[in-house]
Amino acid sequence: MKKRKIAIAAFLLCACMLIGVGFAAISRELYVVGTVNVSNSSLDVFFVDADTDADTTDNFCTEAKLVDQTHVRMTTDVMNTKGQKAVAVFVIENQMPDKAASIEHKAHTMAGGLNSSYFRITREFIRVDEAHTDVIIDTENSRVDTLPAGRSVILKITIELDQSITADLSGTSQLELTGEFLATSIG
Amino acid sequence: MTRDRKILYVLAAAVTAGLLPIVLFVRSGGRVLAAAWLTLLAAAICLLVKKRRALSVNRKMVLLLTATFMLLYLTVFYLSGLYFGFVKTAVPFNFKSLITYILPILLILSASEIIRRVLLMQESTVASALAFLCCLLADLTVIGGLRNIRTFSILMDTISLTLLPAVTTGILCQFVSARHGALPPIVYRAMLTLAPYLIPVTPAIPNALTAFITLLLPLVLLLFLRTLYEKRQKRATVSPHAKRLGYISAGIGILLGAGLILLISCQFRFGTVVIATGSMTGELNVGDAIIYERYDDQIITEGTIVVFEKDRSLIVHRVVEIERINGQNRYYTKGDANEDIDLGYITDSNIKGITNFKVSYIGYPSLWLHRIFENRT
Repeated sequence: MKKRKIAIAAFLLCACMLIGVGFAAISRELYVVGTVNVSNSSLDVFFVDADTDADTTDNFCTEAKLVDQTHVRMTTDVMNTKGQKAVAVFVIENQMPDKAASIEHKAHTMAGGLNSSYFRITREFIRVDEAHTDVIIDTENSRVDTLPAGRSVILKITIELDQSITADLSGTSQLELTGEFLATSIG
Repeated sequence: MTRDRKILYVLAAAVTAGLLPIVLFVRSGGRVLAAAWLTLLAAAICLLVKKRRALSVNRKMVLLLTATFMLLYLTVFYLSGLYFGFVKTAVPFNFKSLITYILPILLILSASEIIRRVLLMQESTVASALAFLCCLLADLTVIGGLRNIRTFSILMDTISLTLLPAVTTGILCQFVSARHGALPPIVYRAMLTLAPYLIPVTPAIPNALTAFITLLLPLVLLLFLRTLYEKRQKRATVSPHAKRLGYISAGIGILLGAGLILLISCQFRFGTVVIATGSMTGELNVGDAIIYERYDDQIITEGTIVVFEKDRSLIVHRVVEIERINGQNRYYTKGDANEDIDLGYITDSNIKGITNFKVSYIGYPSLWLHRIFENRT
């Protein structure tokens, strides 16, 4: 009976320590807020939809939304292990009645602390429907060569953490990604 | 080995063999499968095993005490929602939940307790251990198995809200079942498990606090029943000094335990945060645990280290600049080891607390536990 009491007491002690250690709040540091836009306001080429990518497992993108027709915003959760990704998809529509457009990435900036080099950003244009063969995409250069009038294209943005955040690294801070895409009318 | 024991061991092994795959591999429908399997085997045990009845003392009184104890606990539990707030339960009570959750869970609990009771009647250590294991597996099937553990927080919830309380519940139920029959343990487990399925709201008690409560609750009832019904045994005289030492040790243990609960839950005046990043290196290093006092409109000055929440992350940085615009305080923060000030600003509503003091290195076990799991996913 005494041995049983000691065993129960020891179990309780270990259980309490495990609960204390496991549920301890951990301070976090790293999070990314990104904004992309389609510039050249004279053209009716706009963002019409934004969402987190449902096909990506363990997607660290917590929100992707339309701020307005030329600005979308993606917000990510904390990433601290190499390989973790935040993926968002945006739909860009050419709303011009009779002109095609091309879309290319112009620039992006990463504002913040020392961690901008830890991330890799990839942009990918994908046809909304594979049957839309008139939408011509240059996948190598991540640009849309031809987006006919009335057609839409998907822009998939991936922010991947390229380096694990460990105790050795210091100076983590918030990052802000701003991307700019140029839409040009064709013909 | 008697015929009864042989049959019982085979059936108990069948229970384990049937429940283990359900716990480990089945994503959905596990409860219904487990209920069917346990009911079948409990019926087989009742039919085949002859020695399954034994004298149960004070059965009705213990049943009444258990039900009353649980009613009191549930009352206090739900009243605590007035302090913590209420949230909707995940599974609303309707015909579908009756068929897919409530009835299968009731069958699982009843059948597993019947099996436990019959195994305990064999008065063998092996049978007791099998009884414990079968009921532990039954508890895991009630929560839906281990198939859906994908993140560290789900793992911690499973261990601390199900596995650990299942062990202490098992200790209680083994004691009660052997002496007072299967019904009191069934009532205890049913009331504890089914309440969230019957009542549409539940108190928003932090998981850490719930874990401590559900861990200790069965032992409180066990202590109460033992004090009430165990025969007083003659003991060797204990010296007053040893008694005093025992009381002081118990008192210190209770105080430390209560203190730990208060700090870890972060729901009361003080809370704890483990430093996981190096942005405050020098003042607060990785692995340190800081104790903070909950923010309640205390005056914050430049240089104060605050704990705040931004974009669902808990951050510990120093306030470097304060502005007051349109009656609102804006605090600009920066990590001591960072080159740049944090982007944007925080307001009073973001601040959770003001750091009080730190305990160096004590946070490392938490960090290691998080990182082990994060590296595997």
